[in-house]
Amino acid sequence: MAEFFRVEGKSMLPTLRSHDVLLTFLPQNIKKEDVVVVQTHLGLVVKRIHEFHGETVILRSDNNVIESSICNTPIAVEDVVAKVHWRFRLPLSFARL
Amino acid sequence: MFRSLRTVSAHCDIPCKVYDPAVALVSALSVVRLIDLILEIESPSSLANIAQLSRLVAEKENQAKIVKLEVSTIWGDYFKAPQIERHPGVHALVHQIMQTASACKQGVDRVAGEHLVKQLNEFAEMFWSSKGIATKMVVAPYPPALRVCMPALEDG
Repeated sequence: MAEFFRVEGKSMLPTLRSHDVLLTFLPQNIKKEDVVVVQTHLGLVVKRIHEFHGETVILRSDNNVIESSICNTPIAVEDVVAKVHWRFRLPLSFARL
Repeated sequence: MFRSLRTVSAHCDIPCKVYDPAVALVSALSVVRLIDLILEIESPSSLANIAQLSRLVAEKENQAKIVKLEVSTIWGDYFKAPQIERHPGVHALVHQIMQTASACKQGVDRVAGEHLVKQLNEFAEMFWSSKGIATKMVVAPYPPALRVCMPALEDG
């Protein structure tokens, strides 16, 4: 199933900016370096998979100068709710992730 | 098919966290400087000297507390399983820093202060190494002019 998300925040710069719209699909065959939407105690968060360990993943932000408490700690794969495939931005541009 | 548009957070954190052992290092240098200033007071007999001594001692304790707070925050919040796996000595080092900082609060032993700076340099090197950032040793451009570990960053 496809779902659109709107991005808020700077932690995924330069890949994603605030107000970008993401087209996602259910997470199938996720792997290292995929950009994913994760359900966390902070709510829905978009991050990149830094390490993939089968049942858990380690996330990271693309913006290296800042840290997030959900990064560098194991996250259950079942908490990955979507995989980002396309990014749309105004003025109109899009990129496949 | 398509569901309604939901918001997904790409915030750095709630709240944002920016970690840097430099704060603890500056406080450790301050501890050494304050010990030097305390030792320079020849006689605490005058009221002015007693007031100055009290002020220096209070600030020395405050700076040592900052060291403990900053280091324990980085250790507790930043260091997670992957970093600890790569730097298993972090627990022992942080414990030693806590003890040395306490010793600096309790006394006026300059050697303890210098030891605190040395331990913080090890901690800073470990911290930056965990981020894949090289470090360099530089002499602080202010008293007590001790050597400190800084990240070797590229020009912006």
